[in-house]
Amino acid sequence: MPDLDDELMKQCQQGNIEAFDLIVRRNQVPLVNFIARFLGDQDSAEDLAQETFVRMFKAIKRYKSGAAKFSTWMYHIASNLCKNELRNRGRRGRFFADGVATESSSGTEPTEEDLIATAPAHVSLQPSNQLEQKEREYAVQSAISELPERYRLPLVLRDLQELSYEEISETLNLPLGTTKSRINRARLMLKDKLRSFVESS
Amino acid sequence: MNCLKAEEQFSAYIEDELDYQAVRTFEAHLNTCESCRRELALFRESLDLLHQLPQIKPSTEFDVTLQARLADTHVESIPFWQRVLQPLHGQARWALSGVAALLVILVGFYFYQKTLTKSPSVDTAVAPETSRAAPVAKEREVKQQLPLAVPSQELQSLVKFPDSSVLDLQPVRGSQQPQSATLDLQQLRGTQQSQLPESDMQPVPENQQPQRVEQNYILRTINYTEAPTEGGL
Repeated sequence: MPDLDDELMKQCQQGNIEAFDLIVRRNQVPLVNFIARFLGDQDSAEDLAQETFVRMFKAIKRYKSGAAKFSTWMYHIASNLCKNELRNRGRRGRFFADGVATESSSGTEPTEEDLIATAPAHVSLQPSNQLEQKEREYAVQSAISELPERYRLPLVLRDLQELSYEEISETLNLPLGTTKSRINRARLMLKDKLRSFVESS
Repeated sequence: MNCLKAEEQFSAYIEDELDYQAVRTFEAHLNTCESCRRELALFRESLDLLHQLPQIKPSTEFDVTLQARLADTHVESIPFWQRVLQPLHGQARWALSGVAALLVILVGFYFYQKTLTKSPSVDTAVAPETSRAAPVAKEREVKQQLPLAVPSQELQSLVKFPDSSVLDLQPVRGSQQPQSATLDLQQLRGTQQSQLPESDMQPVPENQQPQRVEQNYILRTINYTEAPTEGGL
């Protein structure tokens, strides 16, 4: 089955630049989610997602149809931008929610007031599950953000973006065996970080 | 199987990537290891939590900002060399690179040689003519310009020549051509005649004809002139 994004890129290469709008519409949500979950910061995620689209637009003529999947190419660009962003920040384990910085590695559980104050706008606001859902998301995002970059990237690509091992291997330029072992290692680390949350709930 | 090995297979086990034998070994360990059973359950729960993360929707400004940024962006053109190399993959690209490198080396060597031959050195200006052109032909040319050999006074005293005019050595004719040529070589090599040992110079009997005497002399010199190549003269 032909990749629709790949077909749209071919049209862009033939001069139909409007096809790029479709590519943006189809991919902006997964791209923003990937970067936001990796960085733990939605504002930066949107900025980097836009930068990813700009770089893809510039490189329309360099795109090699059939050489790799479109998604692999897109996530490869985004991954490099994410890694650069982390290096620029120069620190790890710090993430943001809706623009409010939150220290995740202090070792103390967030208070109820913290959780409400940092609740993302997209979280369902039904009173019955608001706090519980927010607490869960906070715990999981904290655990992800505390993972080292080399484990965090493949984990997000696999368990949130649902890429295959082969696609992740291509995206990150890693051997397939290394990709699999890193993802398993990342899941084991995540399990240890979520232990207290799971056991308490 | 120990617990560490079992942990390494958690992902493969829950994603059904283990073969039949590996599954049996893994489950046999789980049946005997309470700790691994607990860890595997926690592993599954943490993955479930991860998968339950809500989707983040981009803000309403996302599209507007992106369109503004794209409006200021131009599609980059591809340089010529990249257009040539782009369709090639793997070995083809390496092969082309190798050929290009070889061409550069050959062209460089050609111009290096050209520079050498154009340098104003005397050796290099003369040597190619004498060494590359047929040396025999050159020697013949020199021979034609040289005067014919005339025996020295010493030789003339040792050998009785009936008439000095005979030594004009014009009899280079017919079948005697090689002998005459050898005599000319003798002349080219300098004054070897004066150094001839007496034992080599056999007096010619008087009753022989002058022409014959001359030929005798020539034959002797042939023997002598061939000697240096062996004796190192």
